[in-house]
Amino acid sequence: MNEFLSFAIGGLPFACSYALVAVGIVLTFRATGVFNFGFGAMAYGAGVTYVELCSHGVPSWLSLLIVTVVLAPVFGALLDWGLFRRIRTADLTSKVVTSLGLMVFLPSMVQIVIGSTTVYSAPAPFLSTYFTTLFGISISGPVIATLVTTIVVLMVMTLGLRSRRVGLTLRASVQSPRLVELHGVDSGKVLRNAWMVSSSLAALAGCLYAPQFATQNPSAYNVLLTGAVAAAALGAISSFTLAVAGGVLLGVLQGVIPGYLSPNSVWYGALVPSIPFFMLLIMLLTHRGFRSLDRSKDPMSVVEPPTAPPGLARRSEILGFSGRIVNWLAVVGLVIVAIIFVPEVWVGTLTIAASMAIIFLSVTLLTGLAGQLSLAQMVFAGMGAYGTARLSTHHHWSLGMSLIAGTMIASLGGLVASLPALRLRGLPLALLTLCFALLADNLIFPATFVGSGSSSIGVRRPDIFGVDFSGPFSRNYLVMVVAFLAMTTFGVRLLIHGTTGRMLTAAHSSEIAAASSGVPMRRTITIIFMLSAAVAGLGGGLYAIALGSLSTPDFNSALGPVLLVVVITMGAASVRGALIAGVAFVALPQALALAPSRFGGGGQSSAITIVVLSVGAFTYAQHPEGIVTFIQGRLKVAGLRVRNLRGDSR
Amino acid sequence: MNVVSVVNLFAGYGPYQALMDLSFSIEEGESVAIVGSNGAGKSTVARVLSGLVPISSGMATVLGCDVRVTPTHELVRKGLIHLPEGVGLFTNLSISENIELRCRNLPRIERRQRVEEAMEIIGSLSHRRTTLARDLSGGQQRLVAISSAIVARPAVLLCDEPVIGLSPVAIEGVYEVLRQAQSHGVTLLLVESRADRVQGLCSRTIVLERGQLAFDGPSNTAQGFVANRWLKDPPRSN
Repeated sequence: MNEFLSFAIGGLPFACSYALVAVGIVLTFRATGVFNFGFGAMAYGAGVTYVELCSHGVPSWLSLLIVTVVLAPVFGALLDWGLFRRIRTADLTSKVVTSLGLMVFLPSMVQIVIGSTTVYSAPAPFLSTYFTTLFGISISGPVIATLVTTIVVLMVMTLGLRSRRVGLTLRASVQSPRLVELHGVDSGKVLRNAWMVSSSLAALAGCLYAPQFATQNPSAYNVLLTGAVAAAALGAISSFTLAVAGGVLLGVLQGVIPGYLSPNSVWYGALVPSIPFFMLLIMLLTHRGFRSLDRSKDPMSVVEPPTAPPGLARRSEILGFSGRIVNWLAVVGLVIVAIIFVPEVWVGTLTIAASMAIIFLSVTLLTGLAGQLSLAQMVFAGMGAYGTARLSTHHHWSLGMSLIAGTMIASLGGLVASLPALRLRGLPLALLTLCFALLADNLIFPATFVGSGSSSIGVRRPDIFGVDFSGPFSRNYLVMVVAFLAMTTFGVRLLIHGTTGRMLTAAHSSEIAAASSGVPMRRTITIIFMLSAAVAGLGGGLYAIALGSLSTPDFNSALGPVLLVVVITMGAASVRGALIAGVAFVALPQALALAPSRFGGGGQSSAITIVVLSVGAFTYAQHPEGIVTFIQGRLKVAGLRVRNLRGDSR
Repeated sequence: MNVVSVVNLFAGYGPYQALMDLSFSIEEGESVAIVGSNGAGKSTVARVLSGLVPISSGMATVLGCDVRVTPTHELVRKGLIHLPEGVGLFTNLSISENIELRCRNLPRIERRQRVEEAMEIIGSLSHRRTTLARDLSGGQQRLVAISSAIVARPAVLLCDEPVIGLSPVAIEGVYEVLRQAQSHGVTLLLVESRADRVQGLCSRTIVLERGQLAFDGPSNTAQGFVANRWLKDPPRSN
């Protein structure tokens, strides 16, 4: 028993952090309707700030107070004022996209602000050197301090939320900020307070979490987010009590299970990190509360209508027929010139950019066309990549056959992912795909029959009809990838403008109306998931061949949200958006790395690229068409004005 | 004393002007109906008075507050209650929670008394106070909304089409509750599409046509005005 308790106590700091962030997630979701994927990033920012303050000689308890009582509430108020107040009547998808933008944007922004140096850990805020023994079990001071702080904070919150004035108002605000105003409540103040309190909770969790690690890394805080999401899922993101219970349960399980497993066993490396994902998966598939999460409609939407869903954001063609022909000829010409004249050092970059553009096209299909939010597109790409690599290198299949098989494996992954999508939409589906991505990260890709554990797998280049595709700077291979990209683009355009595209657009307006008009909803969604996964798998296979070797971080689950946010920024509803996103995502860091440091060059190029390419998520509610279509529209309006002016002067 | 005053009002949604040069006033304790066809601007008048739709030009005051500069929640605190078209209830809250939300600033004992009072007005639903509002029928939801508004003791009650889509029996139930509100001395502004329905409830009727005032007078003559007018020029939606 003592052994069990000592293991459980070891998990308590994690349990407290999970519980705090879970309560923050439930609070913001219930008060504002925003499921904040950015809480992990906010906790990371708070943790890093806490560590930085401590490293500059500020006492740890004072650093904690500064971060949680001063900086975090101000940041929460700024988030409300600058971002979330503007989308308070938007649909759930727009809110999810905005919070995903925060999840991607914040860690990169923190890295730019603090510089690229590694941030080491700091002491615990209280009792860092204290030790005591209770019933024969030794307990450290930081564990006691963490537990007491969490209990006090959660008790204060519970008392506040049980009151009719605060609790009822919060629950009413989420359904309709307008209607709550008609009940005499300042809804703006309610939303601002909710953001301030939840930011403080995330900051407290970050400060208590930071001393658990030797160095501060955003990925550790993504694990915190996933644990908290799993904890919040226990009560379908609506019960504070169940969220706390879930957090404690997860933390204790993560302390106890490794205690009884050998560190060398397969289960230790695979099962323990996957506990939150399994818990989340089970809740998403079994809890009925998730199915009705997006069904609460604002009765006052007539006064301030919500924005159109992404599928409806597709506009009529801005260019006429001749304009489109000229446009595409110009693109083809530019690609040919680029292939022939680009310096050798950029050939590899362009090859990878073209493969990434294919992966981005899979987001266009699933999110732009079908309106489904998937955070697992990088996993499908990984399936294609590992399938191609395994079959060609270990089983000596021809590279063409390996690529086809890899694409089919990814497509089967899409089929598996589409099964829950038949019942879930919007936020629950996004959570499920995140779960799928994290499970792939922990269980599928590190498995020896898929990847090679921690080592990398070599991937050979093709040799077709005597044409040499080998070498990292092969122009022949660049031509081959561009040809695949052209074919995929053509296929995706056919889908968008064909019957499937019309059926999916109809389903966007109203699934019930579409089904009653004869649209086979289940079949259409399954097909689009499989096609999207196949496109991602093809892109992944070509990407793997371009890289020459594969290792687990190449298809990290953390890239899934980045992929989605970058495509949405550029425009998820058009193939142009995906093509430009692919090129920008790969070429911009390379270009920035070559630039002088005062123009963003040097070590921060990747972080700057992500910051630049993720800002569109924050304007998604107002401009779901993305930057590319938005600029095209503005250019056309400017052109028409010039034409009118000329006409007037004549 | 005027509790509602509208002077040369222009208001609308973006480029669309729903109200044009509208002027009228309502005295304390008066019951007034605003009648008009679809798109006439009836609901917009209610939304303007509660600050939900901004004013393009002109002026509107409610209980002495200029609605151009007073936020909605402040107008409600002054004594205005606007029951919007449709339901006006939080479907994710129970019946008693919806009533308590209106009276949340009162002490606990008084708040409970108000809930009991509302349950008495509703009558048939008194044993279902913990039922979520979404599980009630449309007529029941409107009864709960109006009774919760009455127990909040408003000075001005703005009801936007409270009987739309209801059966004749349910309509009579809603009107009975509105009569109780009148007996409490509440100033009632009722938005309706049919002039014949409001005769027994409102002494005065304002008829709107395409955002403009077409008639302002006793309710018993309003029905004749509407019938004559619509025979000559059938209403069209804007």
